[in-house]
Amino acid sequence: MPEFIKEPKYTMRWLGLQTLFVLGISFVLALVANGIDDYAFGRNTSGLLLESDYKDVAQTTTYCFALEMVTLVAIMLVEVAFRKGVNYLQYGLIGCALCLFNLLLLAMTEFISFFLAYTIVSVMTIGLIALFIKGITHRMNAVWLTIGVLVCEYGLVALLIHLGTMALLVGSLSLFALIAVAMYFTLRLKLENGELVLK
Amino acid sequence: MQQPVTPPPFYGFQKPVEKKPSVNYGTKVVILGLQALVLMIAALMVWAMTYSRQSSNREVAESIASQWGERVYINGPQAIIGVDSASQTIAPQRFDCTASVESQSLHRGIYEAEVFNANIKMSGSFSRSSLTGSDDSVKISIQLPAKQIYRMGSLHIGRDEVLWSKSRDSIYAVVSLKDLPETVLFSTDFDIHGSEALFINPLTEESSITIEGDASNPSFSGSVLPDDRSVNNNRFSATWGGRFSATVENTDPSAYDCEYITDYSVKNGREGYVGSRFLIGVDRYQKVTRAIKYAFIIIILTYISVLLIEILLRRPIPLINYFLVGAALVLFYSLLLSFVEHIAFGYAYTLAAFMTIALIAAYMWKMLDSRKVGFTIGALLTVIYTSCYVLLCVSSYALLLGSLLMFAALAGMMYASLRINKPH
Repeated sequence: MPEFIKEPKYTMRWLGLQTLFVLGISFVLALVANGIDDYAFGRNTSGLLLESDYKDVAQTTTYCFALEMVTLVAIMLVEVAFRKGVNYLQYGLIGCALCLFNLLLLAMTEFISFFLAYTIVSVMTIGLIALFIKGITHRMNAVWLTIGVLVCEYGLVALLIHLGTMALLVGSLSLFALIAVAMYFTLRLKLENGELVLK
Repeated sequence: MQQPVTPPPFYGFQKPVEKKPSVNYGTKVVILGLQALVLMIAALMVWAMTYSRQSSNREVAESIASQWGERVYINGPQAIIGVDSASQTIAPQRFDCTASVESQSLHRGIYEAEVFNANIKMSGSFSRSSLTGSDDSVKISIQLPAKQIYRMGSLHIGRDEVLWSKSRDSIYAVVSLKDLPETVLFSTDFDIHGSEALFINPLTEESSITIEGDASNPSFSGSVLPDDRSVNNNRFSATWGGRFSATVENTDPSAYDCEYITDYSVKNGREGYVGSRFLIGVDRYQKVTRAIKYAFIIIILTYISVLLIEILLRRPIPLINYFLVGAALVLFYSLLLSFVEHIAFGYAYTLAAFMTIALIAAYMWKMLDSRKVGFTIGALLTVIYTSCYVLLCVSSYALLLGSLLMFAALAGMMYASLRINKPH
């Protein structure tokens, strides 16, 4: 009696295609963030937004691509590690939440100080994404992993904005650390019967 | 004699367990090429960042330098006879000028500007007969940015010693013409702050001008090239003498420019001047830009070596691992750029290269579980990065050395490819 087994989902091909999908969606949303930056510039010239606040908001939008990339790759990791499917629409929605962060930040900065607005908006975004992940996976570990990644990202971006000219050094070093972490996880990914398993 | 064809057994959707993975290397090479192109876009982004850092650094350096002192043009001493409307300037008969330049770095945050202090010594003579005018006194004047002078000697003329007075763009002294001999000798010296350029007007045919001192990257320009020039380490000296044509005013300076002069006013505003120009900003970004030019070749060489390792060891390496290795190679330039703003280029290059090589070598080691592979790729990357550093340092032999290295790399690849088809 031949044994019927499920077609493996998380294959090498899935990893490659999903990475391409994440790259594409991050690129599109980075373009949207660029649009938000232009909009912020318009609000600045019409006097609704202070010059210094505008600079901070514009700098935040430049990090949008990296934020999208890292978060969505972390979601891929959640998918493989916890074996819970996250579909394309859900990836898109998480990306949109990260992009909406910029618009919310712009709107709040017009009324309160930048770093206060930043804290409030990032807590809102992280809370929303964490609840969404909870709804998708029903696993608290997955939620804590996502929250950890997001808190690190937003903390780092705030630090980079605060640092000014030193941002390049800290940014490069953290990219180096990021690549090292990514390398670590690719080493832990093993193929078992054509299925990627995190070991 | 047809035999009945037995149908293949039906296994449902079961996959054969532990299938030996077969890799289509043709497709893989094409995808790796595309990856290398994507990584080159990232390297271009680092290049653009270098460029923007460079221009913002130059702006800040220029503002620091202008607070210290701007370009120095020295014209004189000349005797001025007559009152304002009918005044006449008389050049000295002989004119010797020695300028000793000492460079100094000013820092503001991560920004750095190179400025100089120059000690100017002048001597020469006027012909007494040319100084006859309506008055019995004559005004000697030197045109220069007077507010940048921080130590001023007095003017020795004949047997007298006269103090200089400052006006906005010149210093002047009024000298009595009584008891002056036929050849009126004069000498003076002063110290001046400046940045970017020091130019001196030779005034007469018989003059000699020497500029010497220390500067990181001097270039000599002006209406005439220096007769003698030497630049070694940080010391330089240049001497102009005796070749100035009487019609210096009519010379076209652009015909004589030895170095490219970007500033329009140096070309057109001050004809006949000779002198040297110095870089205000440090040229650290220049080297980073030149290093990024080798990014593509480094990525390609690394990819080829990893691919050869994959083929020789018969261990498939996923594309995503290649991409991470490539990303580390591109990140090298970002690290280099950020380090170079804080430490010297050599140290920054060594540190960034060490970090990158260590990361990639450790990755390959763990990926293939072979220390040999780790050391091989580490040694290979060390050779590649060292040769790139050498190429950056010897700019004049870069092409020769670069093509020789390419030849060696080609030979190495040929040797490795010979072993592909050998049975194990």
